[in-house]
Amino acid sequence: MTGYILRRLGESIALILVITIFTFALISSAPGGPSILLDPNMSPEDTARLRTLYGFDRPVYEQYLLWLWQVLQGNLGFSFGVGRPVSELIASALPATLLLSGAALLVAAIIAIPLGILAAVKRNSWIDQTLTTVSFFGLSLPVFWYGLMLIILFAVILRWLPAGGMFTPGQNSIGNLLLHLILPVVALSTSIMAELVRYTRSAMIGVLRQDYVRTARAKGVAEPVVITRHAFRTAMIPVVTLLGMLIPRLVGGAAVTESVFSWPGMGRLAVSAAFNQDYPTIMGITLVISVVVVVSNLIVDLLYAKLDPRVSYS
Amino acid sequence: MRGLAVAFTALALMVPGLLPAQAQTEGGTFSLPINDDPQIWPVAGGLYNILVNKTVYSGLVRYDLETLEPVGDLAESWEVSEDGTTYTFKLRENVTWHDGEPFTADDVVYTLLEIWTNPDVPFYLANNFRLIEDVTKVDDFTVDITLSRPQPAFPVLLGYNAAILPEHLLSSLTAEQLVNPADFLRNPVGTGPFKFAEYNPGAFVRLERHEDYFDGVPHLDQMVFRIVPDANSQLALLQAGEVDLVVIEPFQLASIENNPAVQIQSVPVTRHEFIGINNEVPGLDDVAVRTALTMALDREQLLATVFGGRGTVATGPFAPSVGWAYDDSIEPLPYDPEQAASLLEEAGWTMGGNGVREKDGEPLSFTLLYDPANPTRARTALIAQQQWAEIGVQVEFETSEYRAIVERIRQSPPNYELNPNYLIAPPDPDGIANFYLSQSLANSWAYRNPEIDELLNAGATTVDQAERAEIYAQVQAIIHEDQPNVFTVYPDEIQALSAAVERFPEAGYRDALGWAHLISKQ
Repeated sequence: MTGYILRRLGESIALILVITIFTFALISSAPGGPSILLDPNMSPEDTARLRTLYGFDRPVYEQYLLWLWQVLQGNLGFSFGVGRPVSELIASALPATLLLSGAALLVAAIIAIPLGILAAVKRNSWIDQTLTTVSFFGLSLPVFWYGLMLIILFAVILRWLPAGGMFTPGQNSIGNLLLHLILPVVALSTSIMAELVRYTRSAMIGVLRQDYVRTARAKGVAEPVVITRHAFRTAMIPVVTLLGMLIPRLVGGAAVTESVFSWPGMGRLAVSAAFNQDYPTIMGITLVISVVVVVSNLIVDLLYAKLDPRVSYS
Repeated sequence: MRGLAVAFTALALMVPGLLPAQAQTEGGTFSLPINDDPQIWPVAGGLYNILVNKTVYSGLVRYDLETLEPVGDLAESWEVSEDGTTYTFKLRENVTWHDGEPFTADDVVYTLLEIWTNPDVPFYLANNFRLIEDVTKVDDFTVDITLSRPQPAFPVLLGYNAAILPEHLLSSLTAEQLVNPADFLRNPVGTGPFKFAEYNPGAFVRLERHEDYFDGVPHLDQMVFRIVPDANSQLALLQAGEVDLVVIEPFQLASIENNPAVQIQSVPVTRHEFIGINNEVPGLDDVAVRTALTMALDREQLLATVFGGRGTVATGPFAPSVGWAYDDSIEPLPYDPEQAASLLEEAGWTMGGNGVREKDGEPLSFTLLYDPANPTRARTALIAQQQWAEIGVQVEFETSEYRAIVERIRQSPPNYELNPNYLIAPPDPDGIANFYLSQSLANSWAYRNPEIDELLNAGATTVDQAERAEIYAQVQAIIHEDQPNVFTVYPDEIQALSAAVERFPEAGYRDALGWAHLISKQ
């Protein structure tokens, strides 16, 4: 087990290095250059001078190595756009994103998993069909539109909820935070919910067909017990896989949801860094997300062993 | 007469900027959205930085809200020597930094010498101050600035986003530390009407009023800049009453114009819209073709539709809002497709079989590069394509992201043929000189006219304003003759204000925020 984990860690480090090289090359080859050089009031002379001062005139590999050297020393550098240390920006965005995506995931799981089981158990009934239709609808709603509709209805017309942000500036209370959390959580959890319902349903259907479930039923085990004790645990394996795959996406932040609701999270930070070609910030975010992806994949693999006695690592 | 007065009062009550000052309400929070995290460091450019920095810092000079002429900000008054090279600034004596330290001549000397003209500090407007040769402190509240040659636009440039910084907090930093002064930025200190209170990255910057502001205590308690990247969300926040000002593009007008929660204020600014021409491209190097392009484009219609009727038809790069330097006797070329067609005919461009004119076998066909994310430019492109087709000029589209476009038009030689774009310049005709001088790197149209060079250089150094006005009238006439670009519209800035706003100074918001102490809310 320890050997397995060590090998996986080694592979992961190599993978992360490749990801950063690839990302750096991509940013550097994008046209336009960092937005700090593109203020329309700036004379071409000043642009050239700033290019040198920031080191953009150096060869790309040199810029990359410089960045890597800094990172190895534990320094993610300064954001060109905001003029703050990238680590500070990520430290402030990550909790906001974890809160939003954690809440959305939780809400989605609490609602979607039971609904998925229900749909599987009542397969082909009107309940199943309604759930299928609704979840397809949820999956196909574009968040930039759906989010805006939520804002218009609940913030502009009804004025029940704030239209965006995480706090009303100057009021840092939990109640204020919860009010701001409702709409983005609804927007973000809808699509996750739809995905989870579909996934749970098909996993459960697959399990319910298996021999050991039939055996349990034949032994006269009551149906609720068959579903909760026997089928549910096995059916959760693919669902946990999906949740594992969702976690990095959630840490990366839901870029569109965060932008629409002006939520100060990782997704919004990434989008703005990309627009500004603020490469220290882009690289910092890439690094954090790749680490999370790799670690969460590892954890999911280890969880399989817990959930399914047939899986073991040695 | 009395009726008129009543009418005026009624009008004044409807238009926020016209309310008499004494009736203003005290207190409240004024919020406005900005697209991105600001850097409260006036060395860096970018609109969202400029807006915040205008309220936190002061310059030596700001612009009069009506005439846009430079008036004292931290300077009380100034004099210029006979030869036009030495400016003596008398500074205000009642100014304190937000940390309570007094503002003195040392701050001015430090900022000009160690920040603006220091080649190792990435000040984005350094080129505006390239003529500064020396800055000396005469006494605690008097400063002499020596220029290498006369520059009558110097006071205007001093008012253009050039903030004075605190010597007592920054003088110990090296040039390298001044690139990212992280500690200073945790608690930036200025002399402006609002002082820094809180910065929540990605969310907002909160400023509180500076009780000791030299020009009177600000009416508001707080100003909040909220970071809202999405344009639709910005409008939703305005309609929900959570922000008080969104500067909108004309196409957004329709969705909020009739909303009682919103009032619209449109103000002229020193900005012009145009379709940029690469004057080196065969075909476009022909003045007859460029003139025909202007005449075949219905700019009145463009103004009425794309710009929501807010603005005036443009005749050139000088803004009419800088009244003394604008020759209003020059009329825009008429919209006359027939005359445009005969101009092309005379120049040898004859109609080919497919409805496209040609000369020596070359078709009159160009590629127009635009950013589809900006509906104003995209609609301009579409209208131009349709109307130019009517006179036998074919336009093909190429779309690209805005920053990539900027990079391409700034290449030397410029890498485009036609491109709808805009310019905002300081309120002095010298502000656009850099874009039209033959050898300038900013001349993205590759337009070269020695006569223009001579006049622009003369205008830049002539001290007498009446003489300068004459020079710039000639520049305007020649540009009108040469049509180096298709000048379309001087658009107003359209400010959508929440109904609660009592007064937002009537000027472009960059300039108005330099007077943020005058803003008030009910």
